[in-house]
Amino acid sequence: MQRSLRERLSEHSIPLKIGSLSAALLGAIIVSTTIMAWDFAANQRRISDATARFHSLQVAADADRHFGQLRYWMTDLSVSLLTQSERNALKARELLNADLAALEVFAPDPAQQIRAATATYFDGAMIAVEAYTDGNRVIGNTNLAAARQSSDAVAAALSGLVASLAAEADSANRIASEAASRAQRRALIATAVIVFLGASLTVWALRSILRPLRRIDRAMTQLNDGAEVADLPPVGPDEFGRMARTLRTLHESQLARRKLEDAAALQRRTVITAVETIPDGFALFDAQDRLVLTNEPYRQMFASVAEYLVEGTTFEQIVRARIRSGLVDIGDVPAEDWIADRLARHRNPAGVREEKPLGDGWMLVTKRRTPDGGTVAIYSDITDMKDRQAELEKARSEADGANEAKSLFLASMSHELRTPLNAIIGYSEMLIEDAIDSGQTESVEDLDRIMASGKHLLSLINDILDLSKIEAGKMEVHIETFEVAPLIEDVATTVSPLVRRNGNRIVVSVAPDVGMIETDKTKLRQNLFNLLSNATKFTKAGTIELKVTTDGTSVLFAVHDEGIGMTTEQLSRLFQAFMQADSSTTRNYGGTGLGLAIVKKFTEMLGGGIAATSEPGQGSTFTLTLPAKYRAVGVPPKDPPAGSKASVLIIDDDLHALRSMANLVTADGYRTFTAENAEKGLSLAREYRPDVIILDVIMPERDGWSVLRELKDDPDLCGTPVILATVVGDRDMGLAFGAIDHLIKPIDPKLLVERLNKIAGNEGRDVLVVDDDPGTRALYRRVLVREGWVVREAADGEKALTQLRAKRPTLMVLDLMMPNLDGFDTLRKMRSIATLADLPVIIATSKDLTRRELDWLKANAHEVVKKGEVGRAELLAAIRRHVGPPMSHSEGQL
Amino acid sequence: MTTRVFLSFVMAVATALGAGTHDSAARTIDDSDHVALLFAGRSVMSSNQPLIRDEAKDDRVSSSGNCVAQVADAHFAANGERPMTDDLTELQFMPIETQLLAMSEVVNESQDLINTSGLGLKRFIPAIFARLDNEGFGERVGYIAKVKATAPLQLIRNRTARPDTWETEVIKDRILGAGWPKSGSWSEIVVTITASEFQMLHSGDYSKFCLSCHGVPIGPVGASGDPKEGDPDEAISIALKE
Repeated sequence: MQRSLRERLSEHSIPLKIGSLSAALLGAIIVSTTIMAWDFAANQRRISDATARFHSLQVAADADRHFGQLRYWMTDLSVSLLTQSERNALKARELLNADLAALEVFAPDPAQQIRAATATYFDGAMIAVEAYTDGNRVIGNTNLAAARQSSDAVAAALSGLVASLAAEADSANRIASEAASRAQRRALIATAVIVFLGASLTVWALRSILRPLRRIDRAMTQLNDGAEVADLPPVGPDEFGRMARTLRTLHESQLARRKLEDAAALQRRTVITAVETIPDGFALFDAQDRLVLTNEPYRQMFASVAEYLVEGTTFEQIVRARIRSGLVDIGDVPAEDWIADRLARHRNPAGVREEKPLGDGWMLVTKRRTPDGGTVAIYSDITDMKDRQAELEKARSEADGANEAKSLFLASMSHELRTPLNAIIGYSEMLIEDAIDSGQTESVEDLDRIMASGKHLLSLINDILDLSKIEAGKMEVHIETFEVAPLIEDVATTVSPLVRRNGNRIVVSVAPDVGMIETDKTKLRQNLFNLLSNATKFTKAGTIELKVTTDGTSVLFAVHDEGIGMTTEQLSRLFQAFMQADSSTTRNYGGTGLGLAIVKKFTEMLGGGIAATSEPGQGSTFTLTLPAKYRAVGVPPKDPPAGSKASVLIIDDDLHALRSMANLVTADGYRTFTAENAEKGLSLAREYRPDVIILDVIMPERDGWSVLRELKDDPDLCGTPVILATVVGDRDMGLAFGAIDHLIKPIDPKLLVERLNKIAGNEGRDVLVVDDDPGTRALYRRVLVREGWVVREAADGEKALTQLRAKRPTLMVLDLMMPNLDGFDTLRKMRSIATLADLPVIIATSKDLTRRELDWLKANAHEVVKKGEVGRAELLAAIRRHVGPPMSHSEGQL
Repeated sequence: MTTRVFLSFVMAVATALGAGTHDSAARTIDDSDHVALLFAGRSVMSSNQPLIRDEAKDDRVSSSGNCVAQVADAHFAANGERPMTDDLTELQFMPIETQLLAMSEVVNESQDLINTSGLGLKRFIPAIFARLDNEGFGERVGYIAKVKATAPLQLIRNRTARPDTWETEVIKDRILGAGWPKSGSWSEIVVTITASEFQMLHSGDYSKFCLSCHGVPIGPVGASGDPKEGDPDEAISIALKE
């Protein structure tokens, strides 16, 4: 919007005033100068007129003078007759003629009269001169006298003319002089008026500018001094008004700032008060490590250097002062190094927390960087906490002792329980076989019951141990990537006998898009087996359905049964340990109530979850969800150094025996690792993958049986030969648990080396059992050991090939469906190795083989036996067909 | 002061009037002797200028006789003989004598001026002397002869010395013409309506003293008190009426 000229002018009063003042003064100067110029021009004209008149006078005077000269020289010529006089007379006449010509311009009549009279005179005088020259003096005198009359007339005319012109020139000069005087007076008056006007206007303009400026200056001074501004200039559109507005804004912002400063001061006081009330020592350093703020506890803590605890002191000065005070124990470290270290840590604390002795107590120093580069240091007196911590340490130590005692008790009890159970199961099996072989079938049923009870009890104990390990956080996962469908098929096959037992049937469906899964295969298999076992347990003559689907990121395993179902309340406590739907469940259906708890724990360990839906009488559906990719990235165990010699891990709590065996083994060229307890031994085993493990059985924290079982359950370590070295003479049990040999302490060095060489070398009659299922491997191991075989194990094809390359066995029992490298590929690769091309291989599989697969296997393997109830016998029969009858018991011993 | 007047004037008019060239005519009337006399007179005036201008002296030239004797001596020194010798004819003798008489008269008449005590520059210089001498000569024998010193018009100081028409032409055509000797004469019989007249013009032979007033450079005031106007280019004109 355009503003009016008046509004625009009103916004610029200073330029307007200054401009008006300048315009007025300039106008006055212009007017006065014009008048003076006019006066000057008029005067100039008058002076020119006077000058012209003087010039005319001068001309007339010159004519008069030149006529005088003419008359003189003519007279002189008449007397002297000198030609020089004549020439002078002629020259004077020429000058006179020039004067008369000039005179004619302004006085033509007198000029002509004078010219005529002069000619008359000159001619007469010349006649006289000629007469004199000719010697006629009388005639000359006569003519000269006549000429003199003309001369007098000319002189009189010229004198009159000169006088007249002189009078005129004087008059013109006087007029010009008077006019100049008048002009001078006018100029003086005009100058005086202009000076007065200019001074008045200047005073007015300055007053109108300076007065508001003084007010503004006064107000600014008051603002600057922080005083109350009593007289703020009024706001207006002009410059002062705008400055006044700015001043008001400044005043208001200053008031606001003052309020903010008051608030900041209050806040600072509050902060200081708060800091002072902190029971811990508080110190704030700026970005240059200078002390900014402290509190009383801090000053008391460092009272020895109290004089330094003032604002501005650097951290380094305080540190040096403390060292000088002698209250700091810097040990053997040079003082400068210690200081440099302290400064470095102070400048880059990164949230450092250090516990340091302070006098008789302890303090916790916590330092953090502030956003502006400073450092906040908190010095907490933790003497009481340290005391309590010591007490807690003691209590924890005692608790750990109790826990260790409990673990020991549990391990011992597990061992004590499983040992006879294994014996019961094993011997029941053998008695059943013996009874069948001898035709005493009447006792087979009882023996079956004994074996079934034993297995149930063993299962119960195993569940308890699993749960115990889970609760203790010692259960580990072994992640691998595998096809889901084969696993489901395997599980279904495994569980089929159970399903059939209650007249049920199982329906398995795997969605086509369910491919691979990365998880712990064993635990998944155990979970599915548990769920299916439960389903078949609570269902009579129904259908058990296992349905596997995927949403891309997770794989869902849904187990549905048509059993008795559950109420909501029962569902709510379903996954709690030792809990079944109700007490009658245990009574009617058996079970420990641990299965679902273990399933849940395993599933959660694998990053998944489990849910159950059910209605009484309508059956139940358990949905187990696992991520397709395992979420935690496991650290693969270290491989043994390439090209190294055979290595031996010795685990024994008896340090004397440990060193003795280590020296013995090392002396024979083996690389040796030693562990004085079970945990360290397992850790070293996983880390270094020794070729042989020598394991003591009786150890204080965890016994050898437990270690042996864990080794055999570990897919990576199950193939490692374990020699038991113990005072216990239970050889069969050791072998049954998977040990390859058993030596009785005190160890005969010669015998130990002999056994080791035998294992590491290519001697004996051994079999490599390759199966991803630990249970199957355990079964085969038991059977084959009993047959006098030395059994080595591998959990998949790759591990089997590693073992084969390390040592060619007499025979290999190979499963087909395995992770990483299945039986087909293992067999194919093995046959491509010259030294293994002719190795006898017995395929032990639960897979339904196609004709083509069967033909291929027959061409590359010696036997194919089916896993299952009858598989064991078939396996032994196959072995016997290829390698002959079993060795005698004594022969099987190493 | 004694004045001698010579009235005799011998002139071989017959032979002179018949002469076609100046040489023959001049020889006939022996003009060179007269001219030599005139120069001798001016020479004496020149040589006596220091005496004449001596402010402390009185009676600087005591008598006209003294002057005439000096002129005769000068003539003798210049020509090897005195002005008036016995071998002169009467016609030759009379102008010489008249001329000497005129010189004596001028000196005598100017004696007071010459002797004026306390006055150095008296303008009694050879040129003034020669004019007065020739005027005296004319006063005595003007009816038959006239002698004057003349020059080109621009060099004339006194109107009485202005060349006449014949003199002007001779000066222009002869004396100032190419090939004219430094010292020489030209004479003619000039016939007018009223009379015929022998006229001769002789140029050159001016003395060193003359240059103190007339010489170069032109402009500065000379010994006469007048500005110098260059070489005199003077000529002596002698006219004899028939």
